[in-house]
Amino acid sequence: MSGAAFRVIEPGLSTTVQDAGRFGLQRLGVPTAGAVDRVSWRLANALAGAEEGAAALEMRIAGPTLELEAERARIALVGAPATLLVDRAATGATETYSAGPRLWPSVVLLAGDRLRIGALKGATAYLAVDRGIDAPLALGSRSTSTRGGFGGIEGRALRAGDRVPLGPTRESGDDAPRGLRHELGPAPGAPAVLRAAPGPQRDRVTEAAFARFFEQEWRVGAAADRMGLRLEGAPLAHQDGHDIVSDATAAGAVQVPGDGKPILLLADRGTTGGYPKIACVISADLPLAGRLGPGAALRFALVTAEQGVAARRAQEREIRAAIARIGPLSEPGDVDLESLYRENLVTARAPDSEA
Amino acid sequence: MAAVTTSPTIQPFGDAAVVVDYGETIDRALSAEVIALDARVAAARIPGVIEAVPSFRSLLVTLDPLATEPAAVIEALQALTRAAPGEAAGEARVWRLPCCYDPDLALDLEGVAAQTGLTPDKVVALHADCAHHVYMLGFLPGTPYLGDLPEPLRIPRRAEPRLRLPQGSVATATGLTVIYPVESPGGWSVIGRSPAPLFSLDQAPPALLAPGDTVRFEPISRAEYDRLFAAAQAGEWRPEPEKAPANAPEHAPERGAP
Repeated sequence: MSGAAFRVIEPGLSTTVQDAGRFGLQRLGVPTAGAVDRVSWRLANALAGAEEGAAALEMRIAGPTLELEAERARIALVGAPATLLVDRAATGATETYSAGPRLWPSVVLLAGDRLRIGALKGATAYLAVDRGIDAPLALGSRSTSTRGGFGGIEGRALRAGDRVPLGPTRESGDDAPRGLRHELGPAPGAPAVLRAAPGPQRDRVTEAAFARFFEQEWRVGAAADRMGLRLEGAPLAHQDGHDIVSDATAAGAVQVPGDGKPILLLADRGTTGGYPKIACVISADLPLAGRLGPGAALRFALVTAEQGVAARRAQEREIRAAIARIGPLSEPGDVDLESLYRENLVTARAPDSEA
Repeated sequence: MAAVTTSPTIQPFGDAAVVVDYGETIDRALSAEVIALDARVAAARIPGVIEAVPSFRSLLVTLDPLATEPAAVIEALQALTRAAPGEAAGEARVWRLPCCYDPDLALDLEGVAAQTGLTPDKVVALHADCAHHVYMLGFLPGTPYLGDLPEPLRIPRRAEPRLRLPQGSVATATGLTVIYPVESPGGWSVIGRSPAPLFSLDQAPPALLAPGDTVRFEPISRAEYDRLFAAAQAGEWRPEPEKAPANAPEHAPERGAP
């Protein structure tokens, strides 16, 4: 134990420790848990200079205020557009950093510095730290299982006053801010598109309903959480009843209970279920699903499992390329106009002016 | 043991899983096949496979799309399903789990008796006399789904689920029994409570029961329940399986046929 920690001043709406999740235990009824958006989690870890697979903080809707109780730590935020405020203990000054939708920041904090995140423009984002979040391992993972009441920080979301343990110092170069450039949807103004393959009980809704599932626009309901997204829209009609003999749920499965409103199952889903599963979102698009919050518009696009595999492999190449391009936060020709405008350093948006 | 007559379908479930599906039945022979297949999958170490999850009627096999793809895993599974059917999983254990059927804890015993036209004592006798097969674990960590109760004791789910069933509640619906390892909402009828700890982080494996095990409920008094529950909470008691041969004989099919 390094003794280093984040002190939680303000917990955010629902902030939990997550890593890749725990596998091999679904047969015992243990949900996998883990980051609902594995892409952003991995990118945040790489940007912060953490070990691959390190635990990070998954933030939902609104992020926390944290104070660093350690000499130094490099943090990064990836996933949903947000504003990071850093209150420097040494000088009393506040620095402002803009995150997303394309440029994600990493900054070094020193002892006593406070990081304020606040409202996310999206459902989910990750705060990674080079030292890694050093929550105890539970069944091989640091992920929080709220369903099981274990893992992460006492099996629950952060509360004010919590100490979130950090790992040992990491050698991560200089203290200059860094940036990762990678467009992360959903893009504003159009429904998010989730590609999905047919599920094992596709024939338990009518042909017309199955077709309509892929044609109509759906909206994420208010009850969206890490277990799943309940979708609002014209209900789907069942045939041969709406109960099945319970079977196991794959990540991304879309189940349709008696009321005909689909539920897209995510990381904290129960491992088995008795509702028909008519489709399954491909693994490449699950991270995007994890970023959709209440009210978000979405559509499903019908694909095959093979197309899903190809999409996942293409995405892996994109992730590696984005990681390879990590560099200084501010690069020539890459001006953060949003920030400059806000800080009154420019009075109008001029695409090729720097001040 | 009766051979499974239905061939399973083997299909992708998205790009990161495959499901071997035996159809819409809760049946001992079918379950034995799922559990036997699960053991063969574990032994086969198919490249790229992450884990397998048995249920009443299917085996879900998850995979890493960066290392393999559903078609390759389907091919491997087809070979495994053609292997000799019905080999007993060598790890199955027999348990005697204490269960208190006192009215104080058996919240719905009177109601179930009225529903079935049996006396409460007869309900308890039928339940405790049954050799329950563990079909699968699901819903919450360590939660077993057990079957099959005889016909007179088969009742539907309650019209309205309860928000909070006490930890250890032994509940029944549709001829099955479930035990809630922690306080939980539930829609099944509670006929007893067991002090047995079903899920502990500091045990390996963390769940007491596993698919394929057999469970008998042993009626105990309220005083004995309180004693064992306190001991379990203090980490001083947990049930031990009975010694059973690796190839335990199949239990009377007439108890299990739906």
